[in-house]
Amino acid sequence: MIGALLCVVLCAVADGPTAEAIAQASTGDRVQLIEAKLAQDRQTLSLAQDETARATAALTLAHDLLTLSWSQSLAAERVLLGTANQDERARTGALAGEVLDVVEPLLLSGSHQRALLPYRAAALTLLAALQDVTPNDAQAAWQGIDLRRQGARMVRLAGWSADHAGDLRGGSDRYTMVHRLGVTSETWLAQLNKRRALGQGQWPAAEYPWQIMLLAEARSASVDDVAASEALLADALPRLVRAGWDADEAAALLVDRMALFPAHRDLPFAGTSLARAAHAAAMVTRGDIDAWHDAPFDSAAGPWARVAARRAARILEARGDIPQAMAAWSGAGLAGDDAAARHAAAWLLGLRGDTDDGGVIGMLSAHALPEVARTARGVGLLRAGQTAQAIETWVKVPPGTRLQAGALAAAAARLQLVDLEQIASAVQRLRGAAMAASTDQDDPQRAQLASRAAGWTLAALIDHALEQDRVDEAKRMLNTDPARAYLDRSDALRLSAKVDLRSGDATDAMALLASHDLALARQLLVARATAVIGRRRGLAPQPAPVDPRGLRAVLPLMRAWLDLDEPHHQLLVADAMRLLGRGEVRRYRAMLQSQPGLADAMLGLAELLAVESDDEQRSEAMSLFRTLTHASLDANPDRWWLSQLRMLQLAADAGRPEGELQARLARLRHASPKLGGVQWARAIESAAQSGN
Amino acid sequence: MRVARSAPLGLNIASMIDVVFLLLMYFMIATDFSPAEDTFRMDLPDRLAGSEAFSLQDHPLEIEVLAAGDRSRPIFNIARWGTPTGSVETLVSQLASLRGAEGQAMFTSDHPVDILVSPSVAWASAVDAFNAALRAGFTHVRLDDRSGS
Repeated sequence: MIGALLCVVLCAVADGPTAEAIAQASTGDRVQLIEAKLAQDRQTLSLAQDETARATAALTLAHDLLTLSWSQSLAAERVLLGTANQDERARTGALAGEVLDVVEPLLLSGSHQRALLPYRAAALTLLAALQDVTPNDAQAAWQGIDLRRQGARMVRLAGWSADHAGDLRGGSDRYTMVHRLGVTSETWLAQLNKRRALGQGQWPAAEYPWQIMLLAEARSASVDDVAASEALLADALPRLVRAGWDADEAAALLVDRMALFPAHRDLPFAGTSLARAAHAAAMVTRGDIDAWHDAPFDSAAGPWARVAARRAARILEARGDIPQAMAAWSGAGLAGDDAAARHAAAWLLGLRGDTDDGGVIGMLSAHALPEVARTARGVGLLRAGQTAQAIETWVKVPPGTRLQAGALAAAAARLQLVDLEQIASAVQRLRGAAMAASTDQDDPQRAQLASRAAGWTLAALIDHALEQDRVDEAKRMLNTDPARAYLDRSDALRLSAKVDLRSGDATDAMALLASHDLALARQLLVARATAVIGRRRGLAPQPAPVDPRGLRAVLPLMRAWLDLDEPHHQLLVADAMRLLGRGEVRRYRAMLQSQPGLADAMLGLAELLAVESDDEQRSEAMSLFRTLTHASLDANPDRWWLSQLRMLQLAADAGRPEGELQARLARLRHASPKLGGVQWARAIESAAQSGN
Repeated sequence: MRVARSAPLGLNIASMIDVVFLLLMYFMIATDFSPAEDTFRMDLPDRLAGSEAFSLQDHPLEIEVLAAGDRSRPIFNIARWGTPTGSVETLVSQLASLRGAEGQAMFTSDHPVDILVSPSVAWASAVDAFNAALRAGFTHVRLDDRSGS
């Protein structure tokens, strides 16, 4: 009996754990089983005698490394999203390094095993995320792989057979994973290059949720790890809402994503046009990009048709197929998604103003969005240098439409598709032409429309100047520009108040605006106070001095107009008072009581307590700063470094040994060799040297 | 009247010898020569001294002791600060480099060190990790009652 038992054990060890055994194992055992499987793969590779055996073993090991190691944590995804901590970065670096070590010797020796190429490219993508190689190198690694033709075909077949069998595992796994990795990496690398070109460190708010969803899809397809994918998607929902999505639409999108994971799960509304649209959306995800055309665009199927078209548009956009991407965006627009239609128009505005190969303007014109088409056509003409024709088109935009020059320019700028300065000069030219047309005695109707356009463009230019911190220029335009007479009354009030707020002389114009539109006045006040206080909240070793005159002028308005039950407004008032030297501990405590963990309130309270002479209060401040350092460095680097600095200062004042301070400094240097930049480094080093 | 004489009382030790030998063989086969722990510091409840509240040693250095498929092959990992290794000597050297030279150390000798032991790990491996920390010069080492991940 013992012999039989030993035999079973030895057989199990010799064969290694199967994928099913790993998937079904408990969390604790899973790690061990994965290690055992990887150990067995490594041994097989080391014992392989000929090239074919080596290539097969390398393929298995690379695949297991990426799927099994990957399924242990979300480290790789966080690295791709730029939110990984040191440990996750180290683990992902080790993973990518081992995959390269396994695959590259075979590829360098001239092996014809092209199946290894995607694994090399995936590893390089992870290394690009870690900034160990350039994104261009990683992108080049994907270029030799014809994922679109071979991968899409295989994935489509695999998808159908998996649907039929009710199981996505088995032979189709590898193709699916390779394709997902390819699509994800291509999209991600394209976005990364775009961000670098624009000099940005973080994902734009509107892009971030898409990155999360692409990664979640890749993960669910490759390692069938539903829980991890759902955890990623749960993070996407609030971000989608923050990025301006309607909450219901965002939730519907996520439900759709989650329904994809177990591929055999029946949709609750099978047989309806909604189900056909959802199926089209799912097929786009599985690699059949053109499937978005199959989605019925009736009102019942609207939400899912929008998802299918949007999804296809994103993928096409990332591939650089702009005409098709614009067609997909406008398709989403026709399914009722105004934002997508504006996106299509923004593409025209930013990238293809003078041509329209995809026939987008025609599609938009023929359907529900003629004003979008007209606006886009006008800007296209303008960018092509045909100012006269542009103004003819522009002045026909119906008054009151939100798709006016400023709104569209701002939308395009927000989407980072256009150079803001370029748009500003285009709008400037438009304003000149509109001014000229506004005095046309022969055609009073045209003159009236042109003068309105001149007013809009002036408003857009003033807004733009304020965004660029050119307050004097904005003031000059508002007071002396000939087009100021054509400003809409509400625009005139709003811009006067904005300019006055920026110049620190807030009361009169704001009071006038408040009597006209209190909600707008409140909104402007909050925006301005957030900008002033946020910048000087103390998130610097030596915070910029507060302009007491400006802040004192704004403070009474804030106390009178803001809704002090709103935490953000409470915080603004509390911070304004603190920066004026009249901080009140009780205000922050009340905020933390109603909203425990509100980081800015914790920081404000800690800053107040840290300067007290009482040890008990200072130790409370220390504890608050400590809590703030537990957040990720990337979440708010300045707040994180300020908390570290204050902890060092408090510890030094309390007489902690210098060795302890120096050790902390060494750990911080390990986390970030530059210590957060010159200004933080100087203050932190000086604090660390002031111990006993 | 004859009274029957009872048989003399005696101990049949044949079966006892069998049992003793069986026990002896069992212990010979099953015994494990575990290493002894070095000094185990008792962390007795202490009144928080005034400046302790301002200590910068808020994150203990955590050594995870994991099982890698086979209970006899532990994996040691210094969470966030090291790379996983199966060798005690490598663990000692990683810890020693974290201790570093005076003035360049990332962790002072009195920085708390927690040993997080996975439930499936042999006790001897936990003791190895404990001793490694002491050999590297750390003085505040303790076995954590949480299980390692």
